[in-house]
Amino acid sequence: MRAFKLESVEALRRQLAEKHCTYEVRRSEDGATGWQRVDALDCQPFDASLPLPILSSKGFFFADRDPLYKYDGQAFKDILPEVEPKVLFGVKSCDLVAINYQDQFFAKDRHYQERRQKTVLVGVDCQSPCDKGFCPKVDAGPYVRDHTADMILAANYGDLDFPWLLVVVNEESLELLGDLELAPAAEGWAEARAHGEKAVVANFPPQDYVDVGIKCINDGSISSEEWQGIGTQCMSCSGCTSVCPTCSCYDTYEYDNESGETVTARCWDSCQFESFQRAAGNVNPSQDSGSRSKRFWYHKFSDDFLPEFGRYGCVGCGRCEQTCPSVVGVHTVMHRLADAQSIVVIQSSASTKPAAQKDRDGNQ
Amino acid sequence: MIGVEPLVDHPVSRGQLCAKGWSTAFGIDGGHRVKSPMIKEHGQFRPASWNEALGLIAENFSGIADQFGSDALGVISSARATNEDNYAAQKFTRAVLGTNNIDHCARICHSPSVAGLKQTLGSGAMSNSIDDVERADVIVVFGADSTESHPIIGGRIIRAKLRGAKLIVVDPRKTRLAELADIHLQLRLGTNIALINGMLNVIFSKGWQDSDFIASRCENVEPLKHHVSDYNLERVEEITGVPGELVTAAAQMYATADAAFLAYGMGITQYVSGTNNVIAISNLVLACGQIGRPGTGVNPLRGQNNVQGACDMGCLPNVYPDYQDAMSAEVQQKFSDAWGVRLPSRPGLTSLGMSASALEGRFQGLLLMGEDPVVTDPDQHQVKRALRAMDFVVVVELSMTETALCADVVLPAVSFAEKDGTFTNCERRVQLVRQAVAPLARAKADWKILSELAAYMGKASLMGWSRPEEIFDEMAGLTSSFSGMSYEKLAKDNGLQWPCNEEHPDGSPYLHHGQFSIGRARFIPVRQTDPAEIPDKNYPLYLTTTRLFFHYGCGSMTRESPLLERETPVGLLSIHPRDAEQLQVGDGMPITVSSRRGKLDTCAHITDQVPEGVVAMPYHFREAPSNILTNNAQDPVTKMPELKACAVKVEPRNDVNSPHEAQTGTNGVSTKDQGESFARI
Repeated sequence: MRAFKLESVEALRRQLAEKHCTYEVRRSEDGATGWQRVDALDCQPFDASLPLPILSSKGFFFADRDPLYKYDGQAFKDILPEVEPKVLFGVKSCDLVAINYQDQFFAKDRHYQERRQKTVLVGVDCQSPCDKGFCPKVDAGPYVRDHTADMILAANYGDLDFPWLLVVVNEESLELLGDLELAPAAEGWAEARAHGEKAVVANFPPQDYVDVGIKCINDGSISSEEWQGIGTQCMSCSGCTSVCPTCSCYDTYEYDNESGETVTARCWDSCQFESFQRAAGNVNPSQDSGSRSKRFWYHKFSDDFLPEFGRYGCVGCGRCEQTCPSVVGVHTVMHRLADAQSIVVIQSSASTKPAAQKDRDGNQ
Repeated sequence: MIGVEPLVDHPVSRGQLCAKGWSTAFGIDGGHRVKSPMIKEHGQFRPASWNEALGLIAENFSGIADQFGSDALGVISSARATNEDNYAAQKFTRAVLGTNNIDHCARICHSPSVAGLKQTLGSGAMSNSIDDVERADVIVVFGADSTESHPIIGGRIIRAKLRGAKLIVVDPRKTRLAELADIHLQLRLGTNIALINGMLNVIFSKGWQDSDFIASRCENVEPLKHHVSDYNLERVEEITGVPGELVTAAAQMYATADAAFLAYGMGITQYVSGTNNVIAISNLVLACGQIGRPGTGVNPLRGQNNVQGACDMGCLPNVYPDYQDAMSAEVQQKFSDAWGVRLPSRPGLTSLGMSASALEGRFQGLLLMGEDPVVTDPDQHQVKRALRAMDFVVVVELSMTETALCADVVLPAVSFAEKDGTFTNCERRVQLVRQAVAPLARAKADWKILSELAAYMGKASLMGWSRPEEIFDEMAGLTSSFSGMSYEKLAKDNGLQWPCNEEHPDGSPYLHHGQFSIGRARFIPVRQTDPAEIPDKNYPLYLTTTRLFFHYGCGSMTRESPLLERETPVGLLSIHPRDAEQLQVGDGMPITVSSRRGKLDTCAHITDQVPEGVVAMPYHFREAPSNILTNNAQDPVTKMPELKACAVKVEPRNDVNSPHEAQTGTNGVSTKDQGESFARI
């Protein structure tokens, strides 16, 4: 591992973009932030403060839709993606941890690996909490974990001439620097960085309800009624599983291509669909929405996954809170689970008398 | 296109989509699309060039006009197409074909809202904005299943409820919002007016009405007061089945709220008394002064992505763009001068009117764009007979729908992603739609097709636009509500809500805050009317139709998604456990449902979501088309068919060997496979 002082992030980006398909988060005409292709001549300043895109970077490797193989009438033939070498420039820690998580899940998946092996990840430390993030609670940020990126853009404290630090994690990535001449970082950079992260963590709002929620999920103290209260609101829109950087479930489907061959492809699926686990004869272990909600949060916060992945499924990005129309995203659910004793589960109340109303003069 | 993502900063979506939204790419995928014009010869479709197809259409339409007159022709525009496409459609109909026979699917959806609210308030559109849900203290959802049909708005309602707003749901079924509501008025099918008049009875007798508002903003309320005095709580309970104390509780909650938002849907409009049902809603809102300020309003929830726009653009037989009266000599002169052509002065036919006229042999030529009446209109057998009775039918579509299969010529249209234009959502927000991918194969935008067809019919100069923006500017110049809009202005800040003109240069988040456009709002007393066909000993159950979250309309786009298609088994009939037990039908068992119009085979889904005596079916599935059963009885004002209530009988089927057989049945065999092979070029 080596660290360098960096005067211009754009110079590094230019260097990489000359030989790779380079992507960076940009704001588009309609106001959305998302990954856009940038070429070597692009001069736009690198902006690490742009809001997290609603879609994570998982789509670069675990594609939304992916042809797997085809049948031409005689034989089955593999369809592997044709991939150009890529650089994702400026990936935040939450998304990097999630990529690392999916690297393990898809370790033997050729379609994933074909794309993943040809991609260089340049991470960037977050210097302030984002709107819905809670990454410190799940050890996924705000600074990039070294083993999750090839290079990391960090802050070089107190150095006005070289405001950035470039941490190069492995030997192969050193070669990517090409003829870019960079001075080594000052000694003690690693300790300074560790110190810097603590300061950013201290700026996060109080999020103890997350710890309490995780504990409740793990000690099984949430009743099925409570889960059903959450599940009743869920409309099965599949937004959470689409935006979640660690969700990896997929479905397969067939279609005929222009040459008349039958292609089998996969697309992102969602465990929130009632049909996700529906089997023949309409048998469905997760028929009720409460059990589906419970399963989702189990996958994100259960200790049972620690032996396999070394961490929780949730990386604290908070995207599900943004995208859920039914108000059962992570923050709401964690609050709800943490307050499980005091929260009144919404009940159907055709027979309930409404609360006394004030008339126009304010009298009850 | 492989996927979509929601805009986090958009005022309506706020980074959220329903499952259909997430599956958008499948809906417009090339695999199932029509890729070139298709001409039917000897019962089979063959590909043709645009030149041949348009030439053939022009020849046939001109021939029909010569032989039967211009009124033997008509156009159905698409509520999914852009404002520009729709403006072009009504201009083509009036200026090129020379008739007012233009209509679209609002006919079977919110035509009563347009007609009813125009009379009472002066405007038929949603009076407030979607954001107003979260400014309300009380939310009423009347005859709408919002978390199924309007998931984003449904989500806002859930959010408001969790923050402390009170929720009243009026619905014969126990919908998700009914389960979450403070008060669920589970009224009998078709008893809306009795219920509302009962609420008004209580409100007036307790003095809960907003007397200041009534005195300053409305016309005489005395006739209404007198009229509803007949609807005492005992009578209302007898008619509606709703106990008096719940009616009172709901009335009090709504009337005395600081700000109450009332949303309604098909449970109000799709009845023979649809227009009167809307008027009743309006009476309630006005009596309580819950309109004209934030957090309030009378809010019809529009369905199709641009049905508001299709209405605004005048794709209705009785109005020009911006609801200018088509029968007014002044309006006719205005458009005649602007377009440089004489315009028809005879009233036009509605879509159902065109069908009826075809069966009488007087309507012969139809241009139908982006609509599948064989699946979505009432009384399917009648719809097919009407299409067969016409001399020449042209369908402009994305894919080979059941209706397209009945056409003489099918023309390939581009999807929303393949063209520029504007859409208008239910809160009157006009937004830019920017082309994202190239048009598929030889498909074209509706406006372009109409423009070229006009040329083939000798009227090239009338519709010679080169870009959608030109169409928008032409339209804005001829209307008041849109006169302040331009593509440049729409590009900022996610569009503008009409009216947007000199008076409202930044658009209008809510209507009616100073004055109603008719001056003072009107109270119109209306009487409870039963549905046209009520259960009897031959057809002992009520059938009502529903929407599912996972599908839209005829399913031509949503059913192309493997996930959405997997989620919902085809067209199940929801039935109450006690009704099922009486009929000896188990959950999932095959059944036959029949009405006086026809019958179909499907399977039962036992649930207590429906009340006893009522069965329910979604209308999305061509293999189990609920509209084989539905009644064509119409609201006299708008010709809205009574899709929400007809009488059926249900019988178990014992002759079935496999679930697959049970699903497709004897008369639901899919013709889609046939269509697909024609569409694949």
